[in-house]
Amino acid sequence: MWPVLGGPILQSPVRRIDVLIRILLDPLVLALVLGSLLALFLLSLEIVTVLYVWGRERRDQRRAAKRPVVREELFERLAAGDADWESWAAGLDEMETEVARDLVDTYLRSVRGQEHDRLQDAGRALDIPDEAVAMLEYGDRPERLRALTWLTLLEHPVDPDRLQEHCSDDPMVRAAAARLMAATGGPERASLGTELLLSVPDEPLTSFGIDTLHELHREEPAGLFEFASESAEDWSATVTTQVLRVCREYTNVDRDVPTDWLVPLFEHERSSVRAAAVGAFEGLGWRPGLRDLLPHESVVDDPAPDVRRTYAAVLASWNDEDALARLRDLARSDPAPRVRLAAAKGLPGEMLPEAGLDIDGDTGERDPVHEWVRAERAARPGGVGS
Amino acid sequence: MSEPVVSDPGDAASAHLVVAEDDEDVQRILEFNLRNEGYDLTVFDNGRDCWDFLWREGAPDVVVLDVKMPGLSGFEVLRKIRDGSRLGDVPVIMLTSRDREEDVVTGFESGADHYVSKPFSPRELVSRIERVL
Repeated sequence: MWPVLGGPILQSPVRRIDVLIRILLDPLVLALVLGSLLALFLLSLEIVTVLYVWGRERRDQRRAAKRPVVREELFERLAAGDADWESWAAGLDEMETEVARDLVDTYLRSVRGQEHDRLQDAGRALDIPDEAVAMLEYGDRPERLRALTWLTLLEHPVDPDRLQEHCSDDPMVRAAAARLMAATGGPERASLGTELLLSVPDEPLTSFGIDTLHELHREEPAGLFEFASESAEDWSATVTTQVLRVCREYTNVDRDVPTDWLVPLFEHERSSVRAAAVGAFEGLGWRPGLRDLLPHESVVDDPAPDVRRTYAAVLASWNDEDALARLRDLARSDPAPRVRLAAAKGLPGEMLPEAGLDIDGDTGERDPVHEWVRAERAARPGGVGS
Repeated sequence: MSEPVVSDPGDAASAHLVVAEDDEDVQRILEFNLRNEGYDLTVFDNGRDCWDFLWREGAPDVVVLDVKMPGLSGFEVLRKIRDGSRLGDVPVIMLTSRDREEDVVTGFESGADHYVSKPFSPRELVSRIERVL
């Protein structure tokens, strides 16, 4: 219990302190003191939070109020012959500049044509490129990504060495930097962009990276084949598969592109790589010289159904006499129903009986391929057997 | 502020357009450009309200529909327009996403007269509207 205060205790300061300490060390008093301090801390925190939220809300309200005004001005200048963006930008206060940048960002993504070009001029007048380039050097990861997005929207070229120096540490940042190179054009930049994108040979590309790789070589796919010819040996299976999937999308490949790197991939230990290598021929099929590189016999005998199923899809896309004959054979005799189904889907209706898929008569067959053919026929005008 | 752009109403002056687009920023730039061309606009931010208006008020001169919208999608509004005898012949232009080939095919199969892909060129949209008027 607490000592009684008064009398002789008050006569000695040392004893007074001693008593005070004993009082403070009492569990009940200690709990009261700590509780009060905690309540005070929480109250302060709440006040700070409320003030912060209130401040943000006021700022958001002011921004929202300025947005229609700045937007109207932006539209009027976009429609005008001489926009004079420099004087417009010079007349904006800090918040209006922030709003204007946000609007330019939004509309660069939603409009094209002359208005898009003019928006890029507006972005330059708002000093976005200079700040973005500086951000590449000093910014953290989100800031660098933001800067690269801005530079890509404005199609503002940046020295490739600089990009290599500041944007090679992370797959997402590498993809964004390569995208900037794709947007600012030319075969040399496509090559440098690919080099940057695939600079870590065992690190898979992001989805955006795969799309960027495609974008880099959309006009001249030969560049990607040349790069692969020099580097494919170093790539992991996943990266190889990703590059092959990009190659599959191109139909504008020259007849003399290097293919030496593709051929060994048909023997790769992983079926996903073999399937992707077969798929890469989809867009090349119209060029006989390239198409003949596909080892049809060994692909048909590949133990992995995915490889043969991809082969069926490739043949279906080629869709000429030779391809359809191979597809018919696959639909007739492949051991895997999934592969036969993929092949049957690629065949024109009149060839289905040749593939042993004539369901006009009651064959008693009820495997998935026959079921699909039956359902397909039933969906046509006139119903089953029409 | 710069001098406001004065639009030349031209032949479009009396044309009434109904536009449905849920993205406010895109809606604003559509409004600005189409009003600048002298069109009389009624704008909605969802397919349901757009369809209710069309059903109640009858056919405008042109309908511009975004494909993806809350309530009813652009395709659903388009199908309803083509199914409704009073509205059946109104020209419809769809706003589709870039490279969404299936949107374009679905649009034409559902009876769209034209499509404009996003990101879009306001001039191209105006030219398509002029073509169907």
